[in-house]
Amino acid sequence: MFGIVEIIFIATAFTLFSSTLFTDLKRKQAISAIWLIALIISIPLINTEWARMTNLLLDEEHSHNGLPKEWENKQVLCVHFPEDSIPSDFIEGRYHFNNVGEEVFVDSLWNNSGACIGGFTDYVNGFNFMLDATNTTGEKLEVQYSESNFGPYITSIGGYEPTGNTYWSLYHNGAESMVGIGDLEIKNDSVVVWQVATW
Amino acid sequence: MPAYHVLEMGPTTGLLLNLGLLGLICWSLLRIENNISHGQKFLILGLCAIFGIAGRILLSPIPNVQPVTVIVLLAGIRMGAKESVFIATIIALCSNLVLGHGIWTLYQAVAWSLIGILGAIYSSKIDTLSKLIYFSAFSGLFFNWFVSISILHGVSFEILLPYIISGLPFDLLHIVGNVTFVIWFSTPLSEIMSKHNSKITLLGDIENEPTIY
Repeated sequence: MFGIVEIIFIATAFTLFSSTLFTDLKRKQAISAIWLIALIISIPLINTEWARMTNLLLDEEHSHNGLPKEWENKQVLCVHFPEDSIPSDFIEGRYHFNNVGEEVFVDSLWNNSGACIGGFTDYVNGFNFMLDATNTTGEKLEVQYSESNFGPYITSIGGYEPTGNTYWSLYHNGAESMVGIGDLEIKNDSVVVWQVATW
Repeated sequence: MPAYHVLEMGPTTGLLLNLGLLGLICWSLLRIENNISHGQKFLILGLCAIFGIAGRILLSPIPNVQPVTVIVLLAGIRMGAKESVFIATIIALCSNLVLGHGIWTLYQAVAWSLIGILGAIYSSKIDTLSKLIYFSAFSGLFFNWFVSISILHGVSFEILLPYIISGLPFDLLHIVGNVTFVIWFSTPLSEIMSKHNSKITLLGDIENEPTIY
């Protein structure tokens, strides 16, 4: 409803108003009540922002932007679902799971909803990494694929199967991959992202 | 039999209901206190404990905003160290029977007791509202960080600092809540506590010290 800036602005306006209306103890009482209410209203927003600042790597130049700090220089797989087809397991934003499938952070302010699984090392082949990473979450991110002359073709992730002119598109360290997941060679700082694109 | 009294309430409605109940408890306690003759220290200890328990439980939908820290601090200043330890421990135990009892209850009781003891030690120096506000703000931070130590029973020491840092927004809430409670309630609470107390503090005997704030 309101952002932090709006809440601060409204609380400041009320503070100025009460300062002119009351004196001494009543002024202190009014101002303390105003700021307590303002803080209570804004604490979910403050807490979310603070949690992002303290837990996530927030650097747009970095391949691991928006991912937990402890995953820096480690392999990460992310799956972003279309806005109108977000599975109920990932409805609150982007969920982050460690390499044994434990939830470590939910980012409700990230642009996409879905899941990231990270903290892996030493994988070389993208497809092996994808299958092992998605397996850690049980069936939440179940992968279905068909074999083709160009290697495995991903048909469904987490129960979502693109239809019409949409397909699961592969990104590696922020750029669209020129090769399929079967031929993708990854390094120890690779971030592999799947999201739905249009032909 | 139809459950006509079962009414689905949203969080805001629930909180307003709790605030109404707390207001009712405050009002009735003040009325009861008016009819108590001077010097009934044990009754006042009980009433303060009831107010703290009810306040903590009813305000539990708002994290870290509760009157207990201010009550034990004022009890330490106005009544003495052992009285504040009694109130702190009773409130921690009884409120946690509803909110959840565990190893943290001990840490909460000790943290609030220490705040009360510090209040008793520095009672002669905390003689203005401003000083009480600063002390209550410090108490909020101290309480949260002290209780955070209880996580070391389950996790390693390296987790403690990130845990404390991640909780800073809630520390801020405790601080602002304490400051608000001090500004609103320190005068009536101090008057009640002083009126019924022949104070014996760690510093010595002070007979019915007048309320300054």
